[in-house]
Amino acid sequence: MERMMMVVEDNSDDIVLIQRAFKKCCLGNKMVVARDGIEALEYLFEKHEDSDQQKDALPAVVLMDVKMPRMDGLETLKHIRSHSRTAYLPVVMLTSSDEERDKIQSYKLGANSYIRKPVNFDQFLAVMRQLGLYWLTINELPEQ
Amino acid sequence: MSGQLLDSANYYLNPYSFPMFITALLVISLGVYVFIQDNNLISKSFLLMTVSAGIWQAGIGLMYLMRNAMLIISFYKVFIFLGTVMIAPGIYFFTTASLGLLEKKKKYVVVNYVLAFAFYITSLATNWLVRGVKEYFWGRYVLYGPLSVPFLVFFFILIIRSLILCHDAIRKIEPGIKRDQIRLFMISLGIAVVGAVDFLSCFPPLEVYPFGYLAVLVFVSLQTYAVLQYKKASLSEIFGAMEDGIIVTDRNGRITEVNHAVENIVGIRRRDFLGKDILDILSLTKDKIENPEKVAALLKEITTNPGQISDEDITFLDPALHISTRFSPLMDRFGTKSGSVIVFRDITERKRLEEELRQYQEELKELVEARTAELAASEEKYRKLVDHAQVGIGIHRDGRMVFANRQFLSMLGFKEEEFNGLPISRLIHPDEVQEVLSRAWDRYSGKEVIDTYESQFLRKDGSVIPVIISNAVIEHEGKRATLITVVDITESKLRKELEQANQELEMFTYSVSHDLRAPLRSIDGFSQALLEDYEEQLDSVGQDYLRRIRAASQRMAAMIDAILQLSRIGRYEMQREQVNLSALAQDIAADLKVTDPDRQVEFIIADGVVAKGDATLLRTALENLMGNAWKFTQKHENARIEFGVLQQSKELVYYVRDNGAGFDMKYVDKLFAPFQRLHSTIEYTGTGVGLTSVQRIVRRHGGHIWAESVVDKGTTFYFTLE
Repeated sequence: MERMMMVVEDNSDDIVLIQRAFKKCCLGNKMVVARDGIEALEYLFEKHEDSDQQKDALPAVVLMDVKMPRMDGLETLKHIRSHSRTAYLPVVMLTSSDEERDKIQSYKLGANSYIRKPVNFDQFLAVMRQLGLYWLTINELPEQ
Repeated sequence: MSGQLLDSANYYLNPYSFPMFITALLVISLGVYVFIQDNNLISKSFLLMTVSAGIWQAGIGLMYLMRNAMLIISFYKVFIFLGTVMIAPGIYFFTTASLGLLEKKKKYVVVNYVLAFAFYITSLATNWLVRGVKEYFWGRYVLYGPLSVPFLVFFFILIIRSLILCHDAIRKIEPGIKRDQIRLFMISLGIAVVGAVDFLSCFPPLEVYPFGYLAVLVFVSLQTYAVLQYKKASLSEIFGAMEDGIIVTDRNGRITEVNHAVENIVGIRRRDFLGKDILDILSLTKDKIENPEKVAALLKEITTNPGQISDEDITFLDPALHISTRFSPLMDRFGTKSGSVIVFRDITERKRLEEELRQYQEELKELVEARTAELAASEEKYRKLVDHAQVGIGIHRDGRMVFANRQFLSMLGFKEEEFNGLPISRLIHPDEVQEVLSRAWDRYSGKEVIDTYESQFLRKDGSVIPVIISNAVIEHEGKRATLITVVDITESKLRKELEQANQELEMFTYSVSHDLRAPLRSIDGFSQALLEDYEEQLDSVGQDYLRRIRAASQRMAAMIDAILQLSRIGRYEMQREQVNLSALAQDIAADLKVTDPDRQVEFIIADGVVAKGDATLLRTALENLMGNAWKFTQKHENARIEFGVLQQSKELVYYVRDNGAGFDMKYVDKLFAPFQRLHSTIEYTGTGVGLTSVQRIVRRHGGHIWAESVVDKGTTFYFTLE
């Protein structure tokens, strides 16, 4: 089964750029997008009739922005970690923020990684390539 | 009769009469002597008795000189018998008085005298007692009639009665001088009975010369002795009854008297003392006293200085007693020493009380001292506390200030002397006076009021300071007053504002960091997408524009990062520690070499340069300075970068020197301003906040930074740290 990635991002520009980057890196378009934390949690914990995904299939990794409307990335991360189903779900904070306290808070809440989106698209591309490669092909998770 | 009595023809010289006269004289003299010695009831009764006996004896003596029988009878009846009849009641009277029984026996005494008087009257009126005169070889003597028998019975009953009283008294009394005296008294009474021999001559078969006067003499003498002894006895009784022990010595230091108290106190029997030398006291008592040497010294003192009074306290071991002793000389009336008296007084109880009192006093003293010290300490503590309190503490009474601590004064800019008595309304902002005073009034009248509130005070110069005041009603010098505590909240207000501003700034930088970068990423990202996906539709100029857009967006991103870095330096919480700047510089040099391994740059870094400061910030500062040096020497072949320290006056001045591009010193003012660049971005890259950051770091360390430069010769940055 092909693993997919989930992107939680409110900036549509960024979504387009991420999709473009994935495409460029030949990672396919197996990508689920949520516009904020609420949407992300709904996807992870509720039925999605319009999807052909198996109900219990979780993404291989969640790329999560910190600053979002309704529910921000840190709050969402907290929810993800507090449920047994998603306790070990890899979450990578992918954000513009360079704030020290965001980094500390993220790791404290159990983020697997913290990546700052570079402004330079070439660098952004390189980051996305490595990300996809690592989380979709190299990283391993427990069965349960 | 009186005519015949004075007629010398009725008399003749008869030597037998002389003993009677002598006896009478002696007897009366003795009575008077005793009476003079001691004028009391005993001596009075004694005098009465002796005068009676004297009359009797003198009368008989006179009778022996008489020739006329009728005169003798009359004289006997009137005069001699008066004395005779009074003797027996007198003895009884004297006995009861001496034994202290007079109160009980008073009526007997009176009855005796009444009876005696009855005998006297009867004998006067009749011839029942004297029936005639008979001539003997020693002279004429009366012949007794039948009344003489009841009279003798009366006489002997009284004598025997007196003897019985004495006997009873002896049985009741303790052995002593008093008892000896009573015994003597009895003997003399016995002898008085013998005095009755006078009557024996009256009985025809005997007709002997009456020696009654001898008995009377003996009796009276013994009685005199007894009376005088009685006086002594009372002294002796006192002596014996005294609780103080008394030892009396004669002039040679021989112990003559010891009272019972000595036995009780010292525990040595009287007879062990008597007759001993005063110095023997030491050998008698040395086992019983705590410090015999003290006693020895005392005795020596007494014997060498006999006229001195010496006092000494002696401690006995068993039983444990404290004895005060006083040695005083006894002087006779000529002022020469006739002996000495040692008085022992048991002062154990007194000592114990004294000791108790002393201890109690000591304890009390300690308590008082401790309490005083405590009070002083606590007062000192509170005084200091009030004086050094960082809040203003004051007291106002009747609307005027009566006390203010230092902080209160300095807060309001007053001196102590001008502050006391100042109306409280002068200190309060006019807008608040009404409020503050009405609160004070409510407080006095016992209403519940909010006692801590914000208000505004006026300083001496009229400026307003925001304060928090807190009030309490207290008693001050006996009057109701208000204790007011004032905290100047000017600073805390400012701090609050500053904190708020900081928070806002943080929010701002946060959104800058996040929100301003996102559009830049889009600009750059989509420019790149255009370049890649629509390369063929764009000519080289269009492609160049897109590349410029990308470069600009990236530069802007770098500037945003720089601003963030700058703001972070300001907000950063410094951790001061000892920092090895030499090691830091070495690290940075190594890092720089890695970025461009081809460059040949000589680093000259002084060893052992240390400073107190925040390691992270100081690294940032050095990174910027050395990075600049690295950057501006890139076009010089023999690039050299130095780091070191100089001692200038009292300051340590650190420096980073290069031999690079340098700058024109007329632009030195712009050097540290943000985004000011002295070189073009094409020549040398950079955001223009590096030196601003360095300056900020140096300032946060309490130092300053400056630069010296010559174009194409190089630049030196100097900085100090606090």
